[in-house]
Amino acid sequence: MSITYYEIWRTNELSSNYEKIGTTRKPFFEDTTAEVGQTYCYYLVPVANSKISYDATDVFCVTITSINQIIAISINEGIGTLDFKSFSDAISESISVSQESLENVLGVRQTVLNTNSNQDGRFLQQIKISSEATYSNIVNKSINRQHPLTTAVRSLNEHVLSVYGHEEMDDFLREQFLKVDATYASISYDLGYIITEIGSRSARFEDIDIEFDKLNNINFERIGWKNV
Amino acid sequence: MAAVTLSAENVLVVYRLTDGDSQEFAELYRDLHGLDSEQVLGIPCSDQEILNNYSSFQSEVEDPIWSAINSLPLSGRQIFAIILCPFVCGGFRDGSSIISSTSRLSRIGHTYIKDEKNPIYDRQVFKRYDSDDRSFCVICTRFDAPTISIAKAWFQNSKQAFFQKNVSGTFYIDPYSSYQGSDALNYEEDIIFFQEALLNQLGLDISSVVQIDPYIDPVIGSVESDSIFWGWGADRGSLSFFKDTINLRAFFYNADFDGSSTMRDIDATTWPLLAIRSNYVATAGSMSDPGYESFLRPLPFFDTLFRGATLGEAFCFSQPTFNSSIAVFGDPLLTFIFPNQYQDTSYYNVDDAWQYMADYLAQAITLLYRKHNLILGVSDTLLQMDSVVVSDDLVYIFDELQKVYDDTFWKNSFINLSKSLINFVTTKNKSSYSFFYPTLDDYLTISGNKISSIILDTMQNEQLKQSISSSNIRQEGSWQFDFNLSHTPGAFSFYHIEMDVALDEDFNNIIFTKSTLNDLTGWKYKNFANEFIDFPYNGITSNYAGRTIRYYSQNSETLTRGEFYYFRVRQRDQEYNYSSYSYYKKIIYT
Repeated sequence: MSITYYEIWRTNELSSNYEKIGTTRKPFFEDTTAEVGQTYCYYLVPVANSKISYDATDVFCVTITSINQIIAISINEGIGTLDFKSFSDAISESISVSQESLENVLGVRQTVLNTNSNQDGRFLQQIKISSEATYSNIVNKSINRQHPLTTAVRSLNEHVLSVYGHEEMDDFLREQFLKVDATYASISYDLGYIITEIGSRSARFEDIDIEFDKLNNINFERIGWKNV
Repeated sequence: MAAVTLSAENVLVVYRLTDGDSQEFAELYRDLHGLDSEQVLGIPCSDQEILNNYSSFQSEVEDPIWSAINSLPLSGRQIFAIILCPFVCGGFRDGSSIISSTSRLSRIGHTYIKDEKNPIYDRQVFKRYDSDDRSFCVICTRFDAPTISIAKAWFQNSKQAFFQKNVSGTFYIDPYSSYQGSDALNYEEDIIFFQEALLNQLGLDISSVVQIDPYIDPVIGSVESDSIFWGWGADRGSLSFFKDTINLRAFFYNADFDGSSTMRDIDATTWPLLAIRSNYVATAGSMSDPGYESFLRPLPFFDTLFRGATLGEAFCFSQPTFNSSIAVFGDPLLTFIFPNQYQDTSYYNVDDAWQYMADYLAQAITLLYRKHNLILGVSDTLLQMDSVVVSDDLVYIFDELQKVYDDTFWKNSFINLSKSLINFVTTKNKSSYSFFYPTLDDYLTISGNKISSIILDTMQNEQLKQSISSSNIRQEGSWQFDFNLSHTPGAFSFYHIEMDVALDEDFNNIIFTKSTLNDLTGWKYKNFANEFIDFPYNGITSNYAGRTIRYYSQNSETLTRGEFYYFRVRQRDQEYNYSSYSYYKKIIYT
């Protein structure tokens, strides 16, 4: 089970006592009570909805330069947003290459049908039978939604929802300037995740299509990153 | 509404005004095919067989026909074919050349350009003549004779052929002449290629000459029980050349340089007139030297007839040029039936089929091999993440997934199909060769086929894999790229090909650029016999539209197995016009 939120603990230069100032489910937070010019030190305590306990993060210190400054948290505990994109794309492609493989198996079968079989009918027939059996096998193992695959998709979705603090996949994808492939969205839909953000957007510079005066609200340290 | 292809509804019969014989012939033709009266047109041309210049031809023949076609009532129907009746002008002079009426009128409505390339000549992907083709050319044929009685006898033979249709006599063919030079050799090769690729399929008895000395023209002394003659070389003959036959005499063509210079001289010994007088119903010939490249070609001619299309279409598709001296004679609505029926599906021979199946199978395997790599890649990446949460949430689950699609998954998925494919050429061939029980390696060596090593991988039999000679295995990472030539109907064009290979679909990372203009190495195209032959240095002609062009990678151009690459190609014509790019994505399966 993933971490459900983080407790934020803070101290300043004048005090060595940390106090809990709030919680966050996202990899950043706004310190609304910090004063400009002061340096504060923070650490976070992950809280999971289970009996598993996690260690607190290392302490990190920030000098406040503006009111309501957004402070990134280097929690580094989930997969990166680009990791999610590449994993979801890999899952989609693993389905599409299976479908393409089937087309080539059908190509073998069609070639049998287009071959002069006067003298070789028995052996050609064997190829035809084998191609049909191979086709069925691939459909069953690689096209039909097998339990291990759907489990992986469900886990991946739950993971990013938890780590990035969202209820809906679309909210996560919009916040991170991502879209997923239609095949991944389709599998997710079958599992109860509604995804309408379908496409190739992958947090590239040209994908961040928001108004200039709202750029300050983006935590750039966590856009399009990889956790390796 | 215009008929979809050539039929009695869209022909125009043209006779010479004030000439009762010419008009009578036109009326015979009208009655045979049930034409409307508006489809019979008289034009005020002189009785000269050959006019002095194009200007006279325009005013006496071309303009009156063009005007009638574009005026009511004829403008209400699209005219596909024009039939010139006896005593209408047969051609006009252009310098030392005589341009035939039938060749010029095929381009009626278009500017006269001598020896212009026929835009629908020898299409390698067959299509019946239709409304689209009408924009580029009209089918035009001619009847003419020294006397109206000879013309009427021809008509009676043609009428009988129209109803009888069955061609069952001997096909006489003479591919050889004493003419020298590359153009003559090309024509000889065209006839020989027709012999090899199509003639045997017609089901007719064949009588062919054999070349003993390239400087001596082997000739056919006479024809008997004949239905078709196609030859070249000797340019004069006699009526005694034609012995008895009980068969329909369908078509006679001797490619020479003045065979149809006259159809009205009773004393002429040129082949077209002799053939007509000997009961052939269709023929063709040159009114003056047309150049070897303008001679009718047998392959598109008989391919058209074999498919059940009309004589008019066969004439149209087999003339390399229009506005030339080639004249064609006979009823364009004739169709023929050959002893063998045309098979629309041509079956693969066993060795070709095996190679196709092996390539399909290798691609199928490679795609699942890629699936295995994709899942494995995710699993490995997760393992590298130093994160307890990732470990708890995802590592185990993706490891389980990876086990489902592990290395044995893609191999076992195909092992039976691979075995079947190998059995097909080993067990099957166990008594086909001079030794018993050939191995897969024996088969590959004998047939010239090659196998991708990924097929052998699925067999999970190292001994088998080691038994295959490296020369029988496709080089790992080698590839071939196929695409179909495209062409917008219109002018006859010569195309060169440019191809880019890139790592990304946006072609920001191009790894190869290949062009037939710079280097023909590796470039092939598929001919009528479905063989890949060298790409021509001056470009491939537009009649190959729809046919496959292939590039074989060179040793220095190998790519990574299981990876996708992006290909784009475009064509450049002889006027430096570029087509838009066509895009493709291919996986490397060798």
